[in-house]
Amino acid sequence: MTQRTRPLPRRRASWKRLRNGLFITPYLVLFVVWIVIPAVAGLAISFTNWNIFTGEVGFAGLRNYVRVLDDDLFLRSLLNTIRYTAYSVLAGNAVSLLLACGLARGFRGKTLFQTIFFAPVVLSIGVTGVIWAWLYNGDFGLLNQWLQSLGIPRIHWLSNPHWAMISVVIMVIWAGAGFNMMIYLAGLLNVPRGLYEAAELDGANGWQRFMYITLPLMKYTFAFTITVSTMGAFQVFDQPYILTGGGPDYATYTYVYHIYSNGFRYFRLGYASALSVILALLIFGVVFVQYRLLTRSRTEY
Amino acid sequence: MFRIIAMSLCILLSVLPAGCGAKSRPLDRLQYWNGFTGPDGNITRPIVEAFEKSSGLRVEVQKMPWSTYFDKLIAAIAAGDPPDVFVLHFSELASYAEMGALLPLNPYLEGDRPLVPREDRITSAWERCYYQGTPYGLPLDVHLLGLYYNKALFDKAGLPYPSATDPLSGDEMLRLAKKLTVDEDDDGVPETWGFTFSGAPFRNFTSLLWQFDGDLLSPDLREPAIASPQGHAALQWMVDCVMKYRVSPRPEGLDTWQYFLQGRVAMFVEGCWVLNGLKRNARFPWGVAPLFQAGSRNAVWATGHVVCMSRTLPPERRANALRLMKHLSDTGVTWSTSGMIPARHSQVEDPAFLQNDLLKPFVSQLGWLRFEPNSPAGIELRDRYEQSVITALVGLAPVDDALNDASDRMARVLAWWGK
Repeated sequence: MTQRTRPLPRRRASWKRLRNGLFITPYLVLFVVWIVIPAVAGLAISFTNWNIFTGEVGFAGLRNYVRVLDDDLFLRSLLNTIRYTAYSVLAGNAVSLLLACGLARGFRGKTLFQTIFFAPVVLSIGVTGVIWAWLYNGDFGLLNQWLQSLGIPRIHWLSNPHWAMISVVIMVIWAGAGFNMMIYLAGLLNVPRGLYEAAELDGANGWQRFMYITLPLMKYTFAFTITVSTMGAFQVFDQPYILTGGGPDYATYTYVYHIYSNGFRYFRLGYASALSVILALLIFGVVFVQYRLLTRSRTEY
Repeated sequence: MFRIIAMSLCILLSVLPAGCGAKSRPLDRLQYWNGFTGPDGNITRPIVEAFEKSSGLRVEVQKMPWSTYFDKLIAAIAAGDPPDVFVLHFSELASYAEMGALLPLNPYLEGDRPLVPREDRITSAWERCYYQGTPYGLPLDVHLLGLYYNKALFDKAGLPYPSATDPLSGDEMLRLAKKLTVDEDDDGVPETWGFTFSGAPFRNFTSLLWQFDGDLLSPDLREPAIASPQGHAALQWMVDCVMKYRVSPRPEGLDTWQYFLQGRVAMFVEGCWVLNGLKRNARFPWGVAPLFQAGSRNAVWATGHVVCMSRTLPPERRANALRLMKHLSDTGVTWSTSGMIPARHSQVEDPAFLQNDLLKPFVSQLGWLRFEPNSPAGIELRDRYEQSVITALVGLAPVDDALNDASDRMARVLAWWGK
């Protein structure tokens, strides 16, 4: 039997359009006000020497973009950010996935652990920063006391440039791993159980089941978490700002920290906007390539 | 649908700015923004209440941590919705003035009937409210460094307390610090350190640099002068305390007064603003002395709070804002209970102020105050050279390399601001 779809009466159709429009308007309004307008304004400001206080605008052409070549901290902060992104995205997602795999097995007290792992996500970065600054302190910190009790020499976490960035990454992973863990957990629980049972009957071991069932079926979850983590990592600012102040010797001075300093400490709004445009292009390029690579294979079961 | 969305957007965008802004606030309701979130914030309350009582005006005091305060202030000024009165530090005034953010106060401070009599102004503090010959604010106070010490640890080591008015010499300071540094288990990490520098090392470095007769910039503020024999002597003194004599821990960004509160540090250098925090939190007897003098002359880093008005404040609001600014300046003695030194002679000589024994070591240093360069590039210069100072203090670079690096970085900053 075929069912004929009748066109909606004209009044009902326009009410539906109105209703749909009203539903998306709040988001769209916020999107335009907070994202589109500032982005367009930022692009325009990057070609000027805008004085934020007086409103005076001098056309600078491409001068703000050329100036990055003369700015020793541009490259320094960019390389720091790339290093931070590599560490935090890889290690952070690995930790989240590991936690999710553990929780997905189901055991008594699972919810308690889930809450414990997720709890740091709701802490403010100010609180997290102070806690970790004490833990990391080279002379008084708990971490070094533990290391020393194990016979391992103490580490100057925050005053050694090699360790400082790793310290920031560890803190960020502790504070944020719970968020991706929940997404991974949802992804893991969506993988059909039957596939694992079938693989088990075929003699596949745990590692093989993970590699050939879990990973391929979670590719969209990975694409989401890794893409979002990468975008977040490129914009890291408050964690090093609070924990290390960008030091020692600019070892944890990140790109957005540089934008903030130029814009809000030294009042170079035009230059800060140019730096922001460069970052936006960079993130767009990296995320585009990343997403294409992550979703390339077409595994379906 | 597009029309509906577009219409909603237009309505929202047109409605958003309405109802906000300094112009729409009642004239008898003032906003006073500051970063006094510590014990000093509690002192602000009675001062403002007294103003409200005497003037019949209402004042909304907005306290924000300094770390986020300036972002909000900049946005408010730029949006044409500035607070009526707000606080800056001396070191920030030049850049705000250079950018045109502040209202010049010549008519109120330089006429025949100035808000504050000229003879009552402590020159060194009031000079810092001028930029290129124009006054932009009224100083509330000056605040400077002192040397805090744990009396219990001094007693335990059988050492006499430092004088409350005469600074220790650099050698005396080191001798005390060595005796107070205790490494009971001999693991190379003392359980108690002799002393620690301020959490912001630039304050110690500049004090020592000036004590050794050096300076950050050339007199015309156009060239860095930091990479000098004086700079070397100052930084080397600090580095020796950390690396050679091991009497001071490495600077690692924490508020050093917390080490002190834990009894892990016998002496520490910090500003007078921690006085009330120590009074409230220290579980042991403690005292305060002037900053030690390691170089050939006395000098101590200082800054101050200054109350300002924005150039974007509507003219009809300025009269009441000025009344509040004057009141804040007039109540310097009450404000001094927050641990600050008033910026007016009559207040520094006021018996009520002089009764505060804990402020004596700071008052004894008033002749030696030194301020950072009054340059719009000052904050950026400080950001750059402080990283180099830390580099030397944590042993990442020899003193001369660190100073040369600082000098190069400062030259870049000056070149940029000179463009």
